[in-house]
Amino acid sequence: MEKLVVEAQPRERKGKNAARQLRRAGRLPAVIYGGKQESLAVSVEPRAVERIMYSEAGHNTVFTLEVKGKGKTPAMVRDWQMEPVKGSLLHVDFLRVALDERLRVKVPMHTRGEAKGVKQEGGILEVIHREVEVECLPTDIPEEFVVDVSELGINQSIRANDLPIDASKLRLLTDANQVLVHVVMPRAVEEEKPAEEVVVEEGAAEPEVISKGKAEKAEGEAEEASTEGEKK
Amino acid sequence: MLMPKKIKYRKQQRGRLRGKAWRGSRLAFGDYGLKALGSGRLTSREIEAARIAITRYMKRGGKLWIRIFPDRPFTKKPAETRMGKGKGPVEGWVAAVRAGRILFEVEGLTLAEAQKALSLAAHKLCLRSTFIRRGPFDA
Repeated sequence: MEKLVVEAQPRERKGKNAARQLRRAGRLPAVIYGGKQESLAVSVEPRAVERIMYSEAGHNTVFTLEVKGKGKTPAMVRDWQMEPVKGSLLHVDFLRVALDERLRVKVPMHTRGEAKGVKQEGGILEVIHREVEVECLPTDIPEEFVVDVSELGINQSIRANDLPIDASKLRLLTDANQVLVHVVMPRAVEEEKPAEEVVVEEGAAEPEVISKGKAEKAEGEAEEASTEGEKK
Repeated sequence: MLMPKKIKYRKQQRGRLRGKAWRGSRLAFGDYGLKALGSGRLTSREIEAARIAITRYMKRGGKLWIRIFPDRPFTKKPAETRMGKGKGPVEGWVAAVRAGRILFEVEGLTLAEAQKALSLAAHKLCLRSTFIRRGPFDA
């Protein structure tokens, strides 16, 4: 985990014009902050960030950030911005990490197995929270929490305090009673609904106008009269 | 059919849809989703048709989230009416959708099932859309 090295170059010019030029040149604008030091605008290779994000620990990976002329520092990806349509990276925030200081991180939670309530009783496994917030040293950050859901029946759930957390290393920050995964019965929607809705549509149910006063009523009446007039 | 319960004004001007959907463009609830690739207006009928297509295919198997809501009224003048005499009556409701917006999300289905369900829904919509799945950037 520690062996990953990301090279960064300081950015002199700031603002969207410079950032767009950088992106066109194949670089990714980024910022480094934290660690009781000044923030620093840099640019990195987008591939390097993708490699970190697609690694096993994902955004919780602690890597070495080497800024040209400024030295090395252990860092983490703290935040990122994506282009909404293509999904490419636009900007990344790096957090300087002190290896001897505890920090708050969100660890992904994954399920394992097929729930009994889904397999035998026809329920739906619903994942309420996909991440759990914990406090720990950067070296103790777990890659993920895996929850075995195979014994979950209908209306049964797994809460945050059911996670296998090593209390000597990690402190759970998410509410211990918070439901993470549960199995629920699917709501009966289906076939009859379209027929009902057609009736509603034909009734031309208009929403209530909140500020409906005298003026609007009068206007409405006038309008109806005018449309009738037009038809004639 | 989806429509608001209460509104402040009965009729709206059409306006324009510029830019991309900077909000509502990441998966928030489910594992798979349908993302709009273009901007436009989706009527409540289209949304309802897509919803029915997905729920019929899912057969109670998964969970569906509709991430758009048709809160903009559109009006239409009656047939064979002369111009003028004011704006026509409200004909229906549309959701203003910008490129990148997540339209539907599903959970509790396999990848193949989700692809099929959302593809059926995509055929009901007047915008180009694409299937997306949860990745490391959706945390």
